[in-house]
Amino acid sequence: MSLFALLSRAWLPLCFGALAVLGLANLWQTSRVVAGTGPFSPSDPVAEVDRRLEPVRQSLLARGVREPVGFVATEHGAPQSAAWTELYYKSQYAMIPVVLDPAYERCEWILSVDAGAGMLLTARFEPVEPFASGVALWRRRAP
Amino acid sequence: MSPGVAWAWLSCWAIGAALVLLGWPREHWRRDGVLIPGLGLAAGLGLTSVVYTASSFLPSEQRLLATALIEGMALLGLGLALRRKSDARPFAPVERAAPSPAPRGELTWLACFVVVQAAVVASVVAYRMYQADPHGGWDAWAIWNLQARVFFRTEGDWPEVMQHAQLAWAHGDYPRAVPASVARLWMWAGAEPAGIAAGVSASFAGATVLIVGGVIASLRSPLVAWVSVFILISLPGFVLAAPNAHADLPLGCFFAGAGASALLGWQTPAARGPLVLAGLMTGLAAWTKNEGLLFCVVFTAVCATQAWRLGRARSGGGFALGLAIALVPTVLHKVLWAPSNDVMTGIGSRGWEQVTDLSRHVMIGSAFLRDAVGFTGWAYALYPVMLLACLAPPWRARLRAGEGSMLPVVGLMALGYYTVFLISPHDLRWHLDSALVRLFLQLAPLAIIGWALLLPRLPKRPTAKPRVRKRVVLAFVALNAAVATVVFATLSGQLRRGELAAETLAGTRVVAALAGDSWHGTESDGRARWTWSRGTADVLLHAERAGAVVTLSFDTRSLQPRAIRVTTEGRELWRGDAGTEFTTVELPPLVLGAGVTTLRIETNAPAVAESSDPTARALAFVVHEARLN
Repeated sequence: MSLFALLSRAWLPLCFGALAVLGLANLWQTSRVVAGTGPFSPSDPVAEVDRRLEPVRQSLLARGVREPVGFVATEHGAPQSAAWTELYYKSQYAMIPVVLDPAYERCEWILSVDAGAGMLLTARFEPVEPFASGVALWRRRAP
Repeated sequence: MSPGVAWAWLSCWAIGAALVLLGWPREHWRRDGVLIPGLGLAAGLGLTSVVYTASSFLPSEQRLLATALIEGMALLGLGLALRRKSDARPFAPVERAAPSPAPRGELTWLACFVVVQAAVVASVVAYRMYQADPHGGWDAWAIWNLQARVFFRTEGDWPEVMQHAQLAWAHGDYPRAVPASVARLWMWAGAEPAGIAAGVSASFAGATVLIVGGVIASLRSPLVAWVSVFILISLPGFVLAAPNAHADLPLGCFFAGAGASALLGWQTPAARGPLVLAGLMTGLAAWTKNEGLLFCVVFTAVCATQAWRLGRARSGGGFALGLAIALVPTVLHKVLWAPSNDVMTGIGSRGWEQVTDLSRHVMIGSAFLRDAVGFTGWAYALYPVMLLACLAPPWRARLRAGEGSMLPVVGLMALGYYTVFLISPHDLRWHLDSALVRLFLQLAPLAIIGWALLLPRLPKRPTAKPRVRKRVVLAFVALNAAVATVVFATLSGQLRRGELAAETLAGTRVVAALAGDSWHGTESDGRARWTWSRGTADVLLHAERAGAVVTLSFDTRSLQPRAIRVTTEGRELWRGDAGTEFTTVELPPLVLGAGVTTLRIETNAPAVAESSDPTARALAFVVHEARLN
């Protein structure tokens, strides 16, 4: 068999072999980058916010609240900062179909997610129900 | 998995498979026995999501009954029609060119073995991804799962909820296939386990694998089918997206399904069913993501061109019928319930200025080149070898009716995406960085089909293929199982999230792990692992039994010079300086008790921002390649 004929027959199988080696190497590399979960692994932050706010969502539904609820977070950076925005989005995911409004001043009800919100809200809002981990439900004071 | 969820999954697969079988030439059921379940799963998930969306306007207590009735009737009707088809004599023989016979049995067996082992690694990696983010990536929970919760938690008034201006970022205009599929399974579960959203995503991934492998096996050979499947499942981008509950993978599945159905439809002119199915898949793509609307235009144009070239204008009617039926829910959604789309409404008068802005073309072009490789997640690029494979002899004509259409579809879609970026009202850098990788992932399965069809047809075996003995099959299965067990055990020995190092010392397993909130996430490039701290931070040494003597060492550095001190229970173990170059920290031997020993790594200076970007992390010092001896 000529060299050309040999090369012709072996070309595609050699390419497939190279693909196999490179592909498996890529997968193995990925397995070293994406680690499994063990007893020391950090918990999922989305699930954490979900757990914290589920009782608040149930409370608002039981009270028949249908309008948007103000959102206040004072210990996660300035409003609209990256950390604050991330917490707002996660909180909204947990609270849906209750809609959270960052412009809390125009809302009847307020959800505050950390203990420091009291100083900001007590002038115009009164606490209605405290929850674990500094979460609280507030309502606008009667004029 | 609850019985309700299991029923919901099986029934949706059964509905889809029955529909596909009904439209498929009976003579090809066996030959296309891998493709049909893949198409069936995709079609079933798409169609049952439409049924659920229709029933979502009912109060929740009536929804399950209504959905079950409609799906039950569909299943019954399809089953009866299928039985009639199975019993009926064929009208006329439906012929299709046979695929290439398996060229060398040994190569095919070897390819199968490689794919099985790759599937083991891919499955483990995908599961780890799910464990790390059970609710999926950012878009998964902020858009798709949020919309699924709106479906599931409301009493028929979900359009009013999504119309709130405060939810504009949740993109209420996006089509509903994925959230409706997730909400439907939650309805059957009676709860919202995060695993269901990941399961829907993984189902679409599985369907994509079956479609890619099935169509190539039908059009080429089992060997090329195994190679195509291998390229797909060894794509880290695909594997990591599989459990991630985004809509890009489902969209790619419908792209591949439309392509596969059309390819086989063009090669079986007497049968119209495959082209009807191609139209259905195309319409379901539009029901999945807005990019699906672009695909409708592109793929319809390609199918019309193909019908004209092949002189089969009437076959275009079948495609149009399937497309028209599948577009109904999308049109209703866009007209009746969807808020306006942010990209389309933001174009305005600046559109033409942006089209003629050369700097935008340069930015988009370079991003396309970067992410055409970047989306794969490859450490070692496969493109050169894939190109070499296409150039293999023999160099005679390889493509039959319509087989050359898939790569042009991919090209036209890429051109469409390019145009959207060009006229986008969003910050271009942000838009490219957040979207382009996922757009390429949508096109990957169809591109792999197109690539596989360019490969040469391998020469026929000189002798007839011998019948494979049962003993050989059993030995092959046993070998696969044995190697897979070793692979799985090796993967299980890898470090887990939060672990810096792990060793078995003096017969006991010792783990060094991160503690508290003072650490950023662990990073790895596949060769080294490192973790940056936010300031003073703790490391835990955990030993299963008392008595192990351990030495912890690691390399450290900082963005600015600082002093570092390592203590345990008030006793100093190490003190030194960390600069911009690596310094090795080697602690004295410690005798560990059973349980946890805490090491505190203190620093005298605050963390420093890693860049001028306002979202940049604040970094103190790094623990790089920790070692336990």
